[in-house]
Amino acid sequence: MRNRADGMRVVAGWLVAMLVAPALADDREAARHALEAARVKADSGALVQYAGIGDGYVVKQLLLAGVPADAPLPGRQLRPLHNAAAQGHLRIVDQLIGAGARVDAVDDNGCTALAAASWRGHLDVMRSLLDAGASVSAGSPACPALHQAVLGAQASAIKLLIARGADPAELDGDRRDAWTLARILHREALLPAAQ
Amino acid sequence: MFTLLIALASPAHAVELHDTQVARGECATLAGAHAGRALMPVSVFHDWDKARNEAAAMAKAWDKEPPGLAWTRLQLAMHVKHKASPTRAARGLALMHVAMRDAALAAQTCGEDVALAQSMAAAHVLGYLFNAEERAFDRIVFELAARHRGHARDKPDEASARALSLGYEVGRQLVAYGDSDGAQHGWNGVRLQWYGEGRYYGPGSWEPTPQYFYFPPSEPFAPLWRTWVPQDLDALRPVPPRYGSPAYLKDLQEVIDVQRALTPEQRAIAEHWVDGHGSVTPPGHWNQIALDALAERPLADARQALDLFADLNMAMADVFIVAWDVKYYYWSVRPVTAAKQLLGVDYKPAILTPPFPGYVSGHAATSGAAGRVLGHYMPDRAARFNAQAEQAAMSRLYGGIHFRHDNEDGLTLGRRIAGAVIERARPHEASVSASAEQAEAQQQGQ
Repeated sequence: MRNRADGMRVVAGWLVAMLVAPALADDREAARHALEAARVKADSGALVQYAGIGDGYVVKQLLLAGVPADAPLPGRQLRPLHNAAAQGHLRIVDQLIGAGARVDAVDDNGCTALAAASWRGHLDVMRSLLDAGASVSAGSPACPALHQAVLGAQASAIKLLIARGADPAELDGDRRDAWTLARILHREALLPAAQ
Repeated sequence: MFTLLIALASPAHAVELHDTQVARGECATLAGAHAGRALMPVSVFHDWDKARNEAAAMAKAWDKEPPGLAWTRLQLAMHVKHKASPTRAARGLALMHVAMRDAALAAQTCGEDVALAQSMAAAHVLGYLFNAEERAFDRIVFELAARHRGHARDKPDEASARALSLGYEVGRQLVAYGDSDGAQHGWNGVRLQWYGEGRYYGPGSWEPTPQYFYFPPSEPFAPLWRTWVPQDLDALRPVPPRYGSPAYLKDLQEVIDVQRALTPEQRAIAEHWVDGHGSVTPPGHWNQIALDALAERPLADARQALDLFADLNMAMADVFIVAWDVKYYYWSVRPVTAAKQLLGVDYKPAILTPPFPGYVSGHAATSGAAGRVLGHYMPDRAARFNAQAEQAAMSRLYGGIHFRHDNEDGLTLGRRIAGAVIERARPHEASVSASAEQAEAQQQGQ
């Protein structure tokens, strides 16, 4: 009985592979044609570029063509997710996360996508990243998201980060907690009073 | 025919060029590659009167200075007329001055008329750089040849024809070199097509600046251009203070304080070095300084003047490529934007903020390099050139468009690149350069 069930699973897997694999290959080929028509090279540089521009169609084709969602610019740490998050392109952020982009990867300055979105105050992108498992303390001490929200004067972003567990007492690379940084920038009102 | 056979058999014509930067070939090939008359522009629309006047002025200048200097002045005038960008100006200056040096050395080696060969090479490169001029520069050379050697404009004598052929061939090789240096990347023939390649949008990233909010930024592909001397961009790239760090905020506050209490003297310095759109450009400004210095006291021989201008302009062209690599690696925000973002301060810079990222200052880097090259060739005036370079760097702080760290790191970067250009161009002179730098350091009490 058990052998029979295993056998059926193998047959079912084979049938799925037979039906899906050509479809995937077709998708990849179609995406490559679409990119050729748009004169876009299917590489990581293009994915970083178009994620920043916010061109969801090209991003989709690049992913379908097999460009890794998490690949940085050659020789760099800047990734598609960083640019999409910084620019507030929610759909692209979701596309990239769905395609395997790591939410806590840092760019050349040590900043995560969450830090970039926090600096600009893109709340919907921040929520999406946090829901996908982004850590509020990733990128510390070089570039804590809360400090970036203070630098960007983003009151709602600060509230969201604290609600999701960010600690204003955490120090950045210059040994400043978020209260100190806010005091330097005359933005004390953005943060809850120190306990 | 007999003369031609003797000429071809003479040892000079079998000589291969050896001391040239780009130009290659044997004398016989270079001097005989192009028929002199065939090079002459013939369109009825050409303004020969203008060319005659220009040639008369040049020939007059040749009586008291090396022949290349008049072409340098003409190129600077073209920068103003055609509103050259600083990066393209630096590239063009290097191409023309290397062409002039190569042509002069080739003419010396081959026993041809140096001034004519040098002029034809310069004219050909200028025609490539400013094609809207429609061969105006070639016309000047034919008028010069006629005046210089006493023949009719359209009937160059044999010596003129050989020199013109040699100069044209050297110019052609330099144009081919320029055509493969990467500066065409992204151009569709009318404008630069850039759609955000390599752009960084994260914390502290550049945004278009007031008052025109010009976009796209200038020459984002310049880091891909070929340098004259191999440069390791990753090794050369300095690191700016982190956005929002204490060092960064201190420098930002300084820009604001300087703008609030700008003295007339600081404003004058900022305006003296502004070299903006429609000027001779920053690298052109340093060519003007070199011209003025030579007018004040010439160098010992014409060869030194050739080397000076070639090295000066190769160094500045390389500096622009390296500085633009730094700019488009970090995408650093300008002070006018950061002041608003971080401190809520609105200020109007004393001069217009250029449309590209801040760190490092291109003007400071160019000036660091130029000061070093000029000091190398005129060591007794090195302290003055160095002081001018530092003033040029500081002028960007007075202008409200750069942080102090943009300027200081730019100066250091430029000086480093200039040292590499001088050493690479003529290793036997590196020791002279080192001793000049030591003397300069002693004068400054470092």
